[in-house]
Amino acid sequence: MTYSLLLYILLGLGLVGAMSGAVGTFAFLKKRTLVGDAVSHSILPGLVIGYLLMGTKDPYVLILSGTIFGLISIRSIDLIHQKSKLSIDTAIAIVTTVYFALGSVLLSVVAKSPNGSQAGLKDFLFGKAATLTENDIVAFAIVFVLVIITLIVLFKPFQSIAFSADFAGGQGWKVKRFEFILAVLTSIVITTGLQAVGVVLMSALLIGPGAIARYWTNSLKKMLLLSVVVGAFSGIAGGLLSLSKDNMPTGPWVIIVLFTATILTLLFAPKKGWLAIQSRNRLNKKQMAEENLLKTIEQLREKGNNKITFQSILDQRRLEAAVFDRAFSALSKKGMVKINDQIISLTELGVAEAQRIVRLHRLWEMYLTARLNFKNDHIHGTAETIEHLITADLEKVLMEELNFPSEDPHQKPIPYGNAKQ
Amino acid sequence: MEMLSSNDGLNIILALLISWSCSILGVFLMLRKMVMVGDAITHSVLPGVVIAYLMGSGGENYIVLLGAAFFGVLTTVIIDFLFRKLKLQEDASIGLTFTWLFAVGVVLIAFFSDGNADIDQECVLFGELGLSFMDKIIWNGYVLGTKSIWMIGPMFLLILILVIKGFKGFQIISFQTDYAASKGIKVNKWHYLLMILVSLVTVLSFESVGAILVVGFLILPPATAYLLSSRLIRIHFISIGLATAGVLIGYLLAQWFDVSISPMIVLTLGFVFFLTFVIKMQNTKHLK
Amino acid sequence: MPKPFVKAGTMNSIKVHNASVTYNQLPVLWDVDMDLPTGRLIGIVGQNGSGKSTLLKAIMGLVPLSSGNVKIFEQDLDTIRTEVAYVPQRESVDWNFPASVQEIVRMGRYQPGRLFQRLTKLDHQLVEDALKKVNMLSFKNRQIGELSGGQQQRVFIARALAQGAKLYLLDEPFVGVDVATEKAIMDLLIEMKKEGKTIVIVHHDLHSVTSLFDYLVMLNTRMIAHGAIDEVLTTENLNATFGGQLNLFAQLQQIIKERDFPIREKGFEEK
Repeated sequence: MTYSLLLYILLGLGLVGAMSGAVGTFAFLKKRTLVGDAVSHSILPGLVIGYLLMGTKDPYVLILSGTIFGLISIRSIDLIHQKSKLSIDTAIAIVTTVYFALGSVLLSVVAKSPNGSQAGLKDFLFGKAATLTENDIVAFAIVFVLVIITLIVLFKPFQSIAFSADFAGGQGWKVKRFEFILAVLTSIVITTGLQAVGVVLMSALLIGPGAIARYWTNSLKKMLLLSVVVGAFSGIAGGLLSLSKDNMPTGPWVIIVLFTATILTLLFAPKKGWLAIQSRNRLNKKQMAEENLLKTIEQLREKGNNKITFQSILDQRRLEAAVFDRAFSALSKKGMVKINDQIISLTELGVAEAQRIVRLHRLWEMYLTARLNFKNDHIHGTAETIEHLITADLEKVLMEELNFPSEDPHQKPIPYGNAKQ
Repeated sequence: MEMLSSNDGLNIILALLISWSCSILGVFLMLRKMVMVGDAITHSVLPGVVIAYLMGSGGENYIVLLGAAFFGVLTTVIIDFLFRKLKLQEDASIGLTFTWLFAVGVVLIAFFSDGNADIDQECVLFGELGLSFMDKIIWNGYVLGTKSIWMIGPMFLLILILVIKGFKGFQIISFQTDYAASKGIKVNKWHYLLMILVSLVTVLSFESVGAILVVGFLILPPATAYLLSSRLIRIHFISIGLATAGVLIGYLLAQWFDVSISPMIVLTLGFVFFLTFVIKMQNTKHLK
Repeated sequence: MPKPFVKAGTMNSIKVHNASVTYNQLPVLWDVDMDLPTGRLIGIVGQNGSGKSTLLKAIMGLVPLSSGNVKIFEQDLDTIRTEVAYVPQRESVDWNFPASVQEIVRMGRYQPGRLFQRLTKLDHQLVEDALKKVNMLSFKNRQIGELSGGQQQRVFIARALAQGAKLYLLDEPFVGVDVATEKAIMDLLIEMKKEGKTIVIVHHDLHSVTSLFDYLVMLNTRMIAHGAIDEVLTTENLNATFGGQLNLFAQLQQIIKERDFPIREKGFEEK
């Protein structure tokens, strides 16, 4: 393979990935990605018929005949679902297999025809980028431009529909018409992509980029952009991997790249990723441990204990040694606690912070009994959690709403320190 | 058309056993609205099947082949993990998981299939029902069926017994999972039992029917029967009847037109569904 | 399994202690605490999203508790399940499901350990009796999808009756039900109460509360009040139940969600 042909092929795969990502974003947001799977299977008979009519693999004819079958399959799914008691998943599965079976039967007819074995139609099953021609790439580019322009021009209605069809209807958009346009775009993109990625795995290219992008941004525009990039990258990277060995189908490699990217995203994405959740949990735990430790020392001080040791803290609260150690050293780094000859004391900063926790705890208990009708013996548990969560703003609201009570429901004093100003 | 040979008879017996097993399981998949998970399983067992074939040329290694069904269960676990733990929406969890496992399977084939005629990329999709007679078991000159028949046969009996004995369990979890759980019924166990059976049947019918078309066996007869009846037991009987007719007619048509057999069977089943749907649509106006 | 012994008299039917439930990190039930009496018709009221249905599900162990526990007749649910009949919302199922009225009511007799056995004569008799009580015997072979909303609800209640429980938890049984059925169901429930059964009903319509119940649980994510109906049905409680979430409370709910904060801390407990 020449270097320029390789570049062409990779360009083609990039284009396919990019437009799948763009169109797939809407399918993802509408939770209709599995329809994409049905469509890609259902296009097979369209492609074979297109080939039988023309006698060659003309990309434009194939795209047209494939798209028609794609639209028929979407219509079939909706019809079966709406006109019978069968649920949507059953309808999708029926359409997928029946159309695919039709395609398979037609394929076996072609295979027996004189030029059948040379037709290369089987490359549509798993995709074979190596067989792409310059003619194909030009066709891809034209479709790509058309799809992107349509998406830009019709961004507003598509955005409303992706948010909610009812909402879009309320805004005065003709929902049915735009959903049809979206279906046409989906079918065209899938048909175009089949030669590169294949019938069986095309749906993943629709789902993956949108799913990944969703985890990195909340804005639809950014999401579209990102999923175009991810799609293009998966196409190119998968293509390179598959071209490294003869007789290697392209589709599986694209999907493996994409799935890897999805897993990485699910793990590392900001806020919604697994790691972010874990580290949030860790920070929560750390904060709770430190604040609880301060609070415990303060409670001991309130009791008049001025020889606070590790042991007396452990007598007051049950906690793991490791958690205790970590919390204690963090607090001494912050300059809130001191230890002198095994006697633990709070610094001025520590006292203020400890009193803040105790204050929040007792204010919340007050709030529960005074405003929410809780009984005295049922307020402590919630307050143990809430004391870590009340922000400075909320604290102010709380104090003012309760009019700075001096005692909590258990007649313990509420320490205000400098908080009243 | 030539007369059907005894080889055709063996192929037909195999196809019938597969279609009956699928029909029974498919009814519950349909009622549980888990057809898509079933679809995912049929694709995802591919890596397991490929490994089984690589380990000892396929059919001879019953235990290894059954082990391949593990991938089916793994699929449901991964989907559940992505959906519940990592909060990826459900359709995307299903769609990405099965395409990925299937992709891994295809890559494995591409790497190792050189010179190994037992498994190739196309057979994965369509199966080779027409060749199933080749692994005949002959004893003292009598044909005792084929290896495939002896593999799927016990599985069909197992499914039959489990579904008859455990009918109440499958029925109640299909109707109302929450209610079943409120009675202390271990919903998860029943769910996984169903998924394991689907995985096993898929693995055992892979060679003959292929990954995608087996979904047709799973869903077309039950869906058609559901349109025709509103009693669970009757649906099972009608479904098995339709499956039988579909296999016989489809097989004959495939011979007649000289095309691939299992796609032709699915196409026949699909045509029967289409007819039923059109007739039903004209006779009743459905409330939805 | 020996039949669990339920003591009559003054004991509590349901005891919920400090129960919290979160959905997607958002607390939907917060520190709910209640003791419900036996032999009463108990209504749970609150606006949409106030956690009414979730409370029933929590009692039945269908949603995990982030904190707290539930006792039924002073025992764990698992030891006493046969004495509790749960009637989920009517919309929670696909009524096209291929089953007859009779087949659904038979599910009331299903038990985990007996799923592989045939139903006995007694089972079938109890199913007939239950159908008779809700006036659905003549419909027993009807496909459930062909029934009206009211009839479907009766089928669900018959299924609970067939179980022969002592405690009944009904989730919105009067939604989409005609007036005649509502009256018929209510008469039946009053009858059951007279037999000493305890009936707990999640209900959304405040107008009919006084005519239906003699005991009320008022819920708004947290417990507002529970007790005899004439004691708790005060303007103040009604405002707290239906007047929307207090601002401060709602803000805290949001903070908990954003920070994934555990609703109950673990491993650092006061002695």
